[in-house]
Amino acid sequence: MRFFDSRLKRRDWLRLSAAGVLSGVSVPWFESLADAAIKRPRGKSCILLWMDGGPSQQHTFDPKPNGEFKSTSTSVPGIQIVEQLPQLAQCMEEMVIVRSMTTEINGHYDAKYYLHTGHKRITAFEHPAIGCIASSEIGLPNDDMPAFVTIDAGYDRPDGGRLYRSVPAYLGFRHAPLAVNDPHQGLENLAPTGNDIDARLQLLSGSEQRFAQRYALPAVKAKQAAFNSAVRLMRSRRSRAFHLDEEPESIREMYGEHKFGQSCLLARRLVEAGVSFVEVVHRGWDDHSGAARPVAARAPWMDAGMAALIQDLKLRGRLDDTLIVWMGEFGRTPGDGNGHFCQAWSSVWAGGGLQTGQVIGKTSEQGEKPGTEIVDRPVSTPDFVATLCLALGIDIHQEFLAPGSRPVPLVEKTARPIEEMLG
Amino acid sequence: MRQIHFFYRCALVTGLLLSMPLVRTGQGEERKSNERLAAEKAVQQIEEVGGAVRYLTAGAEELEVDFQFAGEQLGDVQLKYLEALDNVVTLRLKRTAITDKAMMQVGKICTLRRLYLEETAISDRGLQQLLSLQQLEFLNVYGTAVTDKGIEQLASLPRLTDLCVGKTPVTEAGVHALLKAAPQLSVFPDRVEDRRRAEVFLQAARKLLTDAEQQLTEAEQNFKELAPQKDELKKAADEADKLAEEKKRQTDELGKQREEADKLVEERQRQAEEASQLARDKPDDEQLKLVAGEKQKVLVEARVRANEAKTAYDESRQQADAARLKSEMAKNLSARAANATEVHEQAKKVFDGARLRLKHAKRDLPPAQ
Repeated sequence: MRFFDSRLKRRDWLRLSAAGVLSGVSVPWFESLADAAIKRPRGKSCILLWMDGGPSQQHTFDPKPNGEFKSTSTSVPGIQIVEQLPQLAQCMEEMVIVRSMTTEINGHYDAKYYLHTGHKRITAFEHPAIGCIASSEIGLPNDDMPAFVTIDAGYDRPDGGRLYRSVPAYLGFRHAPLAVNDPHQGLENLAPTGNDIDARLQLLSGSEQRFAQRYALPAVKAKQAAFNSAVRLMRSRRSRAFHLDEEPESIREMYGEHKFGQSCLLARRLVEAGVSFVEVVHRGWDDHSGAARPVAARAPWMDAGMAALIQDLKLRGRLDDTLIVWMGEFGRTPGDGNGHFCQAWSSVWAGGGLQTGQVIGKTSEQGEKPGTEIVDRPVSTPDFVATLCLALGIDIHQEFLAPGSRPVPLVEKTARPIEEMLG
Repeated sequence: MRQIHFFYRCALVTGLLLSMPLVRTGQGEERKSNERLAAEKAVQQIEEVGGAVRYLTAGAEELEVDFQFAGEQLGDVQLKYLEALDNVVTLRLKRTAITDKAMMQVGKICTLRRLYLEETAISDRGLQQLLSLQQLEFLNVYGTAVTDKGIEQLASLPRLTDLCVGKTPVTEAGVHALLKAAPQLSVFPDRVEDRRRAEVFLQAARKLLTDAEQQLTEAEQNFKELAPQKDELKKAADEADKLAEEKKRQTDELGKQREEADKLVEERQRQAEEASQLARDKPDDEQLKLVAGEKQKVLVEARVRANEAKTAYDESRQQADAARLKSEMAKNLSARAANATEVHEQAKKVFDGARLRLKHAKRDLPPAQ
């Protein structure tokens, strides 16, 4: 490989191959278009359903023969999940269960950070969250809609550690998420007060112009850019995606009355309106006094919300373009689910053009406590993030410059993406 | 390694050779350059009406043209911009102002694999123009005026595998007829599949409600009977625990006494053996015989006492074990009483959820035909 390294820099190599020179295919206008705005990959979007606190895998998608919950067969022969999720069981052909997540960290906040960024928390600087990466890599620049929105779907119990907030870090502030605090309220303060908005905006830009010219600093520009995008959103017809009340009653019912289901519905509307990444956060899965009863109580609305999201996207012909991921920061101890457990837990993927209707990895069936070990295809945090990026069409072999001109890879170089599930 | 070197060298040389004609000027080059200019212009025009052009994957030549946010800005006329682009495999026209006329233009893009026409004014007439798309795999006409007659023709598209006809006048019979002619096709919504799904769901919901009801009854009983006696039960458990502790202490004491008595027996036995040995050594000494007899008596007494101690200890231990068992039961009951309220609350939540689930399941079930 020395020749590769010394004579032809990697970047040049990529440039040549991108220009169609090395691939041997000559597309006459390719070169010039490569410089135009179309370098971005296909417009896929992602809805991340984040069960904050760590949901129990044995009470959801990895039941065991003598476990607290009975299992039920799904629409895919041979795959079983708990009987408490009958609607999702009937969507199995659109889902992939990854039962072999093994993610090293058992503390809430550090685990949330690790699973959101693909990097362990360090003191020198912060890493960008996956939603911000998606905003920077697949979001349309200067679009009416924000590329990354988070929705707060409420909580069952207030514990579960400090809430992780997505940070764009060195990707730039324009990739920070727009937060929706309540799916029923949509985006608050979106409608301008009074009917003299144009005059007021003109006055503002007039008075700001001189300041911006004199102090042409990144912070000033960032503030102006944020303000402009807010105004653009206020004026855009697409901002109506934030209003759930425009949705027919039957559809709203289908997703369930719970805030989680309504958040899933809002996520679908936002993705349809051009948002690239939506993160729905439901807090309170940190069940330290037994997972069975609390999960049984949550199961009906979680089942309804997520299954409705899958079916609705399918009906609209959008499921192939929308990746859904259900997960928390770790799983829970096999058996009663009392403690945190990062050694062997499950995440669930749906749609996104993946090879669905399968299970990746396997946890142990034998021993005193079945499910404490992984017996097939362990999936590390970098493996997980790399797969998520590839499923969205993001090039994982990229490097960013962190503060101090420190090169940081998009995902750790050790990452082994789950090829078996990428379409 | 050598092979890799060779490969890269060849690739580079080929690349340079291929790029040479781009540098030279000539008639062919001029044509290519014109094509490039036209494509560039098309991308610009597409962006001006709110569309976007993207590569399908990084480094691929296949393109996606996306008008889904162009809305009213995109009419039939603007679709001609696409003529200048090669290799368009995905076209999104959702919610644009196109009509059936635009399908003439779309029908010419023979590389097309995925076509999104949802929520537009497309009708059966438009679909007719798409029969030239031999590569088409996915067609979305959700929320259009397309009918059974329109989709009937689609059977002649050899590669079509996915068709979305939600929110259209298409009927179950129409889908059925199409599926007969094109068995490789999946049509959404699939009403037969939906009904099967809904029936399975209803059955599961019923079962889960029964389970939840049973658990709730149990929790309710505990809540009604045990919860009010929570304090007394706690007291009783504490007392039972104290009693068990006391019994245990007594037993330990008796155990010690027993051990001492056993030790004494050993001691006395040793002494008796010594005395009898002495007596045997000097058979004439009457005194020694007497002493030996005395020691034997003392040993027998010690044995009797040791036996008594053992009986006392065994009795006490039995009592202590019984007290411990009783205390455990009392503790268990007390814990159940203490948790009864919380468990009842949770069981109520699970039951409410199960009832809601059943309501959803009944609503989802389409009327049988």
